[in-house]
Amino acid sequence: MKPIACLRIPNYAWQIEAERSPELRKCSIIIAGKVFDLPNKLTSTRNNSGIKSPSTSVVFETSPDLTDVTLGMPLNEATANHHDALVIKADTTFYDLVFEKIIERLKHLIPDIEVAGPGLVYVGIWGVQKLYGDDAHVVRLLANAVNRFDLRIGVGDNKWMAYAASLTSRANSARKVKGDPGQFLDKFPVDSLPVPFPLIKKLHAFGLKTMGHIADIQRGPMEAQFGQIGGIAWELSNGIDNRPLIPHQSVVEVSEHLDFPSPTTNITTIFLAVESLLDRAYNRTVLSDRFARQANIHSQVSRHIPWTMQIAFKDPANNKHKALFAIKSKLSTVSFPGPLEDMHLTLSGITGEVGQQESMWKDVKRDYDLQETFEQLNRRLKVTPPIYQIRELEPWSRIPERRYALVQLNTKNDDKESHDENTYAKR
Amino acid sequence: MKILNTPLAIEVRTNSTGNPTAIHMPPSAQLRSNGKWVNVTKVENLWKVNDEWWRGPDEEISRLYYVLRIDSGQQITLFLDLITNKWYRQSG
Repeated sequence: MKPIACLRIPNYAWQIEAERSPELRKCSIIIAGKVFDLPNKLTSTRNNSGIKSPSTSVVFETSPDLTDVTLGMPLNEATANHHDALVIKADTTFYDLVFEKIIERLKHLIPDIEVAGPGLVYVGIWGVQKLYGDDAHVVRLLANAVNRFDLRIGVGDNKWMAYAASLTSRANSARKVKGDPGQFLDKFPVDSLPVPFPLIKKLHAFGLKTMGHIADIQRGPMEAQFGQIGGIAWELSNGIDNRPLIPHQSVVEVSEHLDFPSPTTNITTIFLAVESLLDRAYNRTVLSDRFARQANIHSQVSRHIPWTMQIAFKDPANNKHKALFAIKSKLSTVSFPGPLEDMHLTLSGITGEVGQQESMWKDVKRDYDLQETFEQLNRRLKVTPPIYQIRELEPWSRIPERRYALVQLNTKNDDKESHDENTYAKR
Repeated sequence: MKILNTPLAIEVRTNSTGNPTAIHMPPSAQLRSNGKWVNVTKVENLWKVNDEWWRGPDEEISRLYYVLRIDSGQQITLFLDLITNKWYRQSG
C-alpha cells in the first residue's frame, strides 16, 4: 500500500486570525462567511443542510472552545447560543493566500499534494524513503514546512485513514495507523464520518454510535437501509477508501507587495502604488511576453477588515499600461472602507497566447450592441435618446442635399429591417 | 428626418466677370469666423449643374459651383443659383 499523510490545521481560519491579532486568542470567535465561501472538504459534507440562499451568513470557522457550533450553521443560530462570541467576517482571500504559500513550501519537498480544503492537504509520501528516510523523517520535514500553525498529521494507507489518524494526533505531532484499520476505527464516533448530517442522526437513532458498530454489520443491510451513502459509511468504517490522490495543479501567479508610508485613501497615491506594483510584476521573467487575465488587490485597512478587489481583464494584458487602464477604471468607482495600510497585487490566469474571437456576422453584432446601448440610454434618460443615423436617400444624385439624411434611430424598426435583410440574404 | 448638407444662403461680392471676390462669413465657432467679410484668394474649381429642367422653370435646378480658397487658407464651396441669382454655401 502507498502511505498517505494528512496534514490538518484545525480551526485554520481562526489560527490565521489569531496570528494576525493575538488578542483574539482570549475570546470566543465566530468567523462568519457566506454559504459559497464554505470549503468543500472532507469534513464539510454534512454542514450546510437547511441553508436555502447562498448569500445567507453562516459559520465559516470558530475558535476551538465553541465545540457545539458546527461549520455551515446559520450565523443567527450560532450567535443565539453564544451571545458573548465575537463575530468577524471571513477573509477568504487572505486565508487562500496564506494556504497557497504553505502548499508551495510543501511542494518543494514532495510534489504529490492534494488540497482538500483550507487547512487540509493530503501528501503522497511513497517512494521518498531514499531521499528523506523513513515516514517519521518525512513527516517531520512536512511539519517543519508548516511550523507557524498548530498542525495535526496522520499517516495511513488511504486518504480516509490518514484523516482519521490526524483526528487523534496531538498538536504538532503525527500518528500512523498500523495493523487492522477496522480495529483502529472501532471506537471512533460516527459523527466523524464525512457523510451528510441527516445520516449521522439516523445512525444514532439506530443505535450505531461508533464505526465499530457499523463495521459489525454487513454492507447489504446498510445500503438497503440508508442507500448508497450507507455503503460509503460502511466502507469508511472498515477503513476502505478508494479515492485516488489528485495532485494539486500549480497555478502560475505573480504577486507583488508594498507598504504605504502612512495609511491612505488618496486615489492618486493608490494609483501610483498599483502602477509601481504592476511595473514590478511585468518585469518578472515569468510574465515576459505573457498575458495576465486577472488581477487581485488585497489591502489591510486601518481599524477595519481587509479590503479585496478582483479585476478580470476583458482582454488579457501583456503590459502594465493595459492592466493599469483596466484597474484604474474599476478603482475610480470604488469607495474604500478606510485608509489602506499596504497593497498586495496578484496577477493570475497567466497565458502565453491570447486570441480574440471574431464574429462571423459583424453587422448583426454591431446592431445588437447599438440596440443595447440605445435601450440603456433610453432607461437612463427616460426619453428617446438623441441618436441619429445617416441614411442614404439618393447617393447618386448630382444635387448634394438629396444624397443623405439624418434619421432618428429606432432600434425596433431597425431590427425588423435587419431581420428582413438577413432573411433576404439567406434566400 | 433631417436633410444633410442643405444649402445656406450667403452674401458674396463679385467682380466684373461675376466671380466671387469676398464672402460674408456668418458668425460660427465651427468656421472660426466672427461674421466678417473674407477675401477670396483663388478660384480653384467651378462646374455647372443643370437638372430637372423637364419639370419646368419653377422646379428646374441650375447652379454654378465654385471651389474657393479664402484668406485663412480654408477651402469653401459655394454655388450661385442661376434661377434666383442667389448665393449659397454648400459642400460639393
